Amino acid sequence: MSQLCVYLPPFSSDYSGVCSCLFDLNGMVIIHDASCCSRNYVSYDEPRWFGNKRPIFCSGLREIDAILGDDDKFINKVLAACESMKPEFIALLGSPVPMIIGTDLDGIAQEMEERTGLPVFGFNTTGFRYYNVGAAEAMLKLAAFYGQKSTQPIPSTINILGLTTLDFSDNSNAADIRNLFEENGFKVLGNYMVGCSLPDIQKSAQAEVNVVVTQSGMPLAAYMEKEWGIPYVAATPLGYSGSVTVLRTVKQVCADRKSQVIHAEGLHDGEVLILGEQLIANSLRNALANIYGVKGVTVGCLFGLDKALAQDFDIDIRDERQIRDLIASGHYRKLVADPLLEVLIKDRDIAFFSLPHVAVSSKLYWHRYRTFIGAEMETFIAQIAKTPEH
Amino acid sequence: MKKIAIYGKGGIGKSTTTSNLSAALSKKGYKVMQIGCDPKSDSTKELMRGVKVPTVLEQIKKHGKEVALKDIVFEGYNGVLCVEAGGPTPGIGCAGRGIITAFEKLQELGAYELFKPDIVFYDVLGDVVCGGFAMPIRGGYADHVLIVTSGEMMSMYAASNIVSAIQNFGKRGYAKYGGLILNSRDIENEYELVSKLAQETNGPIIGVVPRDGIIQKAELLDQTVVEAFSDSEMAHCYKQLAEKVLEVCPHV
Ligand SMILES: Nc1ncnc2c1ncn2[C@@H]1O[C@H](COP(=O)(O)OP(=O)(O)O)[C@@H](O)[C@H]1O
Ligand SMILES: [Mg+2]
Repeated sequence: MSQLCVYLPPFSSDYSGVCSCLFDLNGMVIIHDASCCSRNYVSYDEPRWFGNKRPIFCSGLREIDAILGDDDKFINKVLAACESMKPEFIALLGSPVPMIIGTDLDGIAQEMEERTGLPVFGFNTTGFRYYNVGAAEAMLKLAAFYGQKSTQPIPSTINILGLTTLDFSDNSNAADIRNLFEENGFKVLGNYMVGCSLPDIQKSAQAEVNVVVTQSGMPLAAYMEKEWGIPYVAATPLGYSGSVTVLRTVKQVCADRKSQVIHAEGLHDGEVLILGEQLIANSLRNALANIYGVKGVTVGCLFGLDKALAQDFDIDIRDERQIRDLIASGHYRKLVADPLLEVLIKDRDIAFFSLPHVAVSSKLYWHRYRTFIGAEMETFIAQIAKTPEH
Repeated sequence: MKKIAIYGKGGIGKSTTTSNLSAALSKKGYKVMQIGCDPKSDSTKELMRGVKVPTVLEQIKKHGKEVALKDIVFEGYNGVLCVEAGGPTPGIGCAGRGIITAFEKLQELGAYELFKPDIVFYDVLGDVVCGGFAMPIRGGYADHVLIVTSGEMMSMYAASNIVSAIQNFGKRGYAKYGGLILNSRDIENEYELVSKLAQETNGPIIGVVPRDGIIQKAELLDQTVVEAFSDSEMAHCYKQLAEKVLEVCPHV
């Protein structure tokens, strides 16, 4: 029963990650499910619906289809929809039932590709993994398929990897991050994924450096480094000084071509616990350490721990119980997390700092999301550092 | 790397044939990996001196996320790497799903990259070809499928079902059907019956293994014939079959 959540909702899962990434493209997205998972994404995981229409379909999987493995029925439905939608590509996503019966989405995709002449991407999403796994897979598949390495890297160009609304919501965050680079002499070739287009993705192979802003961008960063020789910087620009550090590091990596995960010096397991997305949490920690000398900061990764980004004392959070135990340990005096996690503090004497995350609390706070770049975040960081320990 | 799935009806002699092929190829200097995909989990026991190795599914149950390659890949006769996918408690659970999980685990742990086998055999139960048991012929796993059959009706029926499963996947660019291995049961007109099946399924008979009590003698020693009676006619037959398998399963 250790995985039982009493207070927390299930976090956004892999199919939502894929859908979120494909939102800005003219593809047709089909979730192979009984309309439960697709409803999840449509109702809870997508802040951009208002004023937007996107072709996200549900296959209407029924018991008898699952038993008989009727792939043809599914394929024919998609082909029919394709006739009227005229998409630029098709994406087929799995969900728990196809996963259990082993539906071969890659294989179906290959078959459909032959019949439509369109690119068809199969995603073996299961609903049992976090959104960032799906987002990572979506970015990778698009880049591997559309990316065209033709010339030497174009100087002062970057791609932004891992920019999703499940992490940054739908306020000005994505535009702010892009502007930060554009205003400081960089051209953004590939937006992965908010604001992206297929031509962008094609060009992204020519970028000089990748800036990875959430852990979901790491697999693509590794791929681009291996295939196209593009080094990366892994850090989310936050506030003022945090943004300056990222800019400086990007310039350095343009020169020395060596990938860097930005880490502050002298960190230790400490009085501040940040629970959330690993790279954003890391970047917050860097700001706390570099500006305020707060070096005892532990990151608890809610969506899986990527060793390449972690300090050895960082924690891979597996369930709600583990969070309660961490809080009860008395080791931490301050907790930074999505507001939904505040109840887990109970009567402990711990100061709470709210950093909403769509993948945790869905639409509850997405209109009160923090602005990552500039004064608001800078103030927030100062507040964490300066609030006296209870 | 050549990745070959050996299918066939339960009890027809897949594991016996596959283990002897693995042993014969290892003697020729190839690094071979044999993966049992049958809830019976006895594919590799003749390569492991009778020891039933812990299965991938058992180990996942025991170690959870921490399961490592050393828990599921075991070195047997002449360096042959032995893996058993395993299966649920008889009567409950889902055997097909079990195969999928076991395969995903091997892939996730990078078994193929680490051991770099020259040849991988998947020894797969072929009575029921549900999604799970079709896993070995799907993208990224086997490139070739060979089917073990005798002249008995039920075994030829299973063989022909397996061929239709492969053909169903035709548009997906998966494993190719390489032909039949006739494991003799000494029934009347056996060769003719199986030749007819070969014609109908459009695949050659790539070898004929006689029925021979020496198999049981080797089994009593917990060994393959290739190991226990390496100079016997039967061992010679498996060595020849091994050559033929290499020939009909080119690199892809
Ligand atoms: N060519 C053969 N001659 C004699 N006995 C055989 C031969 N092939 C298989 N057998 C016997 O048949 C039994 C079942 O074979 P096995 O390889 O375990 O079948 P499967 O793996 O297809 O279920 C074995 O115990 C073995 O003794
Ligand atoms: Mg067997």
